[in-house]
Amino acid sequence: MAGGMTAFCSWPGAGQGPEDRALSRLRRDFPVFRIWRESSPGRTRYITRRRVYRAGLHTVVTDDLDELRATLDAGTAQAPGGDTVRTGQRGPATPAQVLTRPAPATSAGSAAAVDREPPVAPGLTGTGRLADDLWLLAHHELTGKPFVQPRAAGLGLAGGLLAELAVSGGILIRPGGPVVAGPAPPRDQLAGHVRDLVAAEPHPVTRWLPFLARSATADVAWRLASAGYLARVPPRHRWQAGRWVPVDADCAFAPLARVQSALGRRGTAVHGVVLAGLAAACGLGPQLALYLPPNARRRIDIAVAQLDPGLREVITQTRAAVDSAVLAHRV
Amino acid sequence: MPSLPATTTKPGTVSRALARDRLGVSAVVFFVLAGVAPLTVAAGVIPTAYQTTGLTAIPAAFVVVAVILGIFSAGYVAMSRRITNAGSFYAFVARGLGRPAGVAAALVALVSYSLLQVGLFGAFGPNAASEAATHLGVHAPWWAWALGAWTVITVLGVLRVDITGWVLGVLLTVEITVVVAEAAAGLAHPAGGHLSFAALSPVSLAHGGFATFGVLAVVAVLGYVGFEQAPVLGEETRHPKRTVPAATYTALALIAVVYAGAAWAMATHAGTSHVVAAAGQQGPGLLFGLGGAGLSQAAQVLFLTSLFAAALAFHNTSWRYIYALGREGVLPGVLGRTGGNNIPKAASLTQSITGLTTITLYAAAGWDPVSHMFFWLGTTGGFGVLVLLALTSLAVIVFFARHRGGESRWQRLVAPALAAALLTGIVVLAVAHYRLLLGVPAGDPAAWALPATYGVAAVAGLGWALILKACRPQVYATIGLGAHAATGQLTPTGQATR
Repeated sequence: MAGGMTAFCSWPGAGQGPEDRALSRLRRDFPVFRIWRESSPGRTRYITRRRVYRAGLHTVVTDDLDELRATLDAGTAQAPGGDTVRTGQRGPATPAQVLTRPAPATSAGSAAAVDREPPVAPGLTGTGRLADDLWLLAHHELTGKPFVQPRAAGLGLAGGLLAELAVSGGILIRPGGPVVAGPAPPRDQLAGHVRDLVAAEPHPVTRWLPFLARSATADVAWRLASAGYLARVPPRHRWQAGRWVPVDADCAFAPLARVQSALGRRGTAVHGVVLAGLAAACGLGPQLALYLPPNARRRIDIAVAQLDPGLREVITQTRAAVDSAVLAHRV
Repeated sequence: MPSLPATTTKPGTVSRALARDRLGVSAVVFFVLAGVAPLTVAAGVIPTAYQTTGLTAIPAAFVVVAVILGIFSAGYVAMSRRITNAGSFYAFVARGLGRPAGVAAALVALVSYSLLQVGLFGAFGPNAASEAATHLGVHAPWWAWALGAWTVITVLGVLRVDITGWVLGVLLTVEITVVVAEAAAGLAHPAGGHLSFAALSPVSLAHGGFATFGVLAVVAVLGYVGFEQAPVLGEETRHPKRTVPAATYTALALIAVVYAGAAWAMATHAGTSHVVAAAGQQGPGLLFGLGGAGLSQAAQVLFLTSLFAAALAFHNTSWRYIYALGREGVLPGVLGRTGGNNIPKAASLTQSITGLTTITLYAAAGWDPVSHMFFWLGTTGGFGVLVLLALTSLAVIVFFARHRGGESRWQRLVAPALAAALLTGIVVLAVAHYRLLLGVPAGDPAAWALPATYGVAAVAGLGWALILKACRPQVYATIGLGAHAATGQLTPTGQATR
């Protein structure tokens, strides 16, 4: 596990107080779980997450190490249970929140929806999904602050969602708009949802982008959080909104390295090229320019020009939509 | 995971969802009027026009020009539905009259809006200096205040893209209220005791001859500049086909009433035969003095905010042109790129450099900022927009001749032809009598040099377009498309034409 000091997480050896020693013992006793501490003004929490997705005890959030140990003891001894959320009561302190499965989407009539996500663990290779990589590219790897305006980020991520489906074969981007292709629905819920939307109404890419952009940033952030890449940080003041912060700075930085290597290779990987194209389209050019060689912009343009027409269409329409938003002062 | 919308969508889900984020007529009207900046014209342009030109038929000119611009708008908004990048005149000309003409129009537009923007510093500086000297006891030269405003606009231009809408909206509403109040007060106390409608009637325009009409029409067009910006927000509105025309006509009608009313009130209050002299003495005070002391004071402060808002709006218009041209490749590509936070810093700074150069030049040379910077550069900018309006009318006719699409004959032929004839006539008259507009004696070089800059810009544009055609055909092919240059589309929802 690549280590990196973030503002909120503590790592082994960071301190030697009694809490730190208890934390180290917990980590030693329960290697199946990843346990870390998040500090915010006035509050410290311990977050535990199973490293590999399994049914059963998955995530625990508490501010009491003894309760955490008790829960982990009980959880690992118990047979995998159903979809339950248990809360423990312990005096005035915040009760522990225990999740035995990631909470599914509460869309109407989908109580039986099961997360068909394959087992993923936070790592340098990422989730393998375009929109996830683009989200991490578009936000600071330590603070989670965005590098682009909200609407530009939304449009870029909307393009990323469409491109994901196109690359995986779930949809085909035709001149008139995307159409559903392939019988098998995608394995993750968000991609499946986008595919269902495309199936329900025919629209050109130019209308899908602003429609998906309305919630793309939040949806992709939640998907990354379910995969363990992001953690929600409560706001410092009541009037502010909470923020998503990458859990591991190196994993959050990895998409940029993927772009770099994709542009450097002879046979350019589609994922990296599309990612680079979408990043440039939504205004991350200056970010890329910081870390990529000086002629990267031209290499991206050349590489994008060699993509399939459908993917090229998504990238150019994303760029046009972001530029139009800039020209209309509503970016 | 937050709840995703139900996957079984009803027909029209996407359309309804998109409509919710979009703007209505009032938002577009506010955007347009904020650029027009009524108080700037009412207190800045009109008194200076009275003084400089010596002509008194200004109210009538505003009414007649409003009608002409209304006729122009019929074809203009009809074509704006059919093309992309409709926020810029050069897109119309490129699609109608061809790409070389489009580049020529683009350069003319760049020069016009730049002049309009930098000219405003020439009004802000002296007025801020006199206000500060009177009320704060601070004595600084006009160019110091102008540079101060320039700095704020430059900083805003590199920090934000979105316009602080509600702030401008509030200021605008108060501005209009103040102008109307002042005009009402002026009309209530006419010189000589009775109200004369002579200044309003078009007959008074005819008395002065064509020269008069040409010159006053340029002043009036200067007052209306900004009304053409409604298509900028076209794609952001719920019903572009209805909203853009509605906003354009509403803005035109509103400002016609405000301007004609204010100019008439000034002439009535001072007396038609004395208004020129009064304007020479009082300047903007000609408007402020119509009402009581409190109204006058409020108007003076709002005049400064109005000048600032107008300078900011024209700064935005200028960088929009530069950015769109940079995106296409007509101007260097660096100008078409955004920096951090999606802000087109290069385009914004380019316009800022123009402003800085001009202020420094006038300060160093010691030329009078109000008449030589504000009025000369402002009216020259207005003249440039007049040329663009005439060109656009012609482009509308040719475009609809080639791309019939169900527009009525009035929209595609009669209105633009009428507008083209009238506007071209005004352009010719204005060029012939430009010295009257500037208020300089015959033979003064400024009278031909200032309009000639547009000739130079147009020729340079034509030449550059032909060079692009020879050396960079892929750039030449996308002239006029602006943000959609990469997609090569005719309309945002049209098929890709490449």
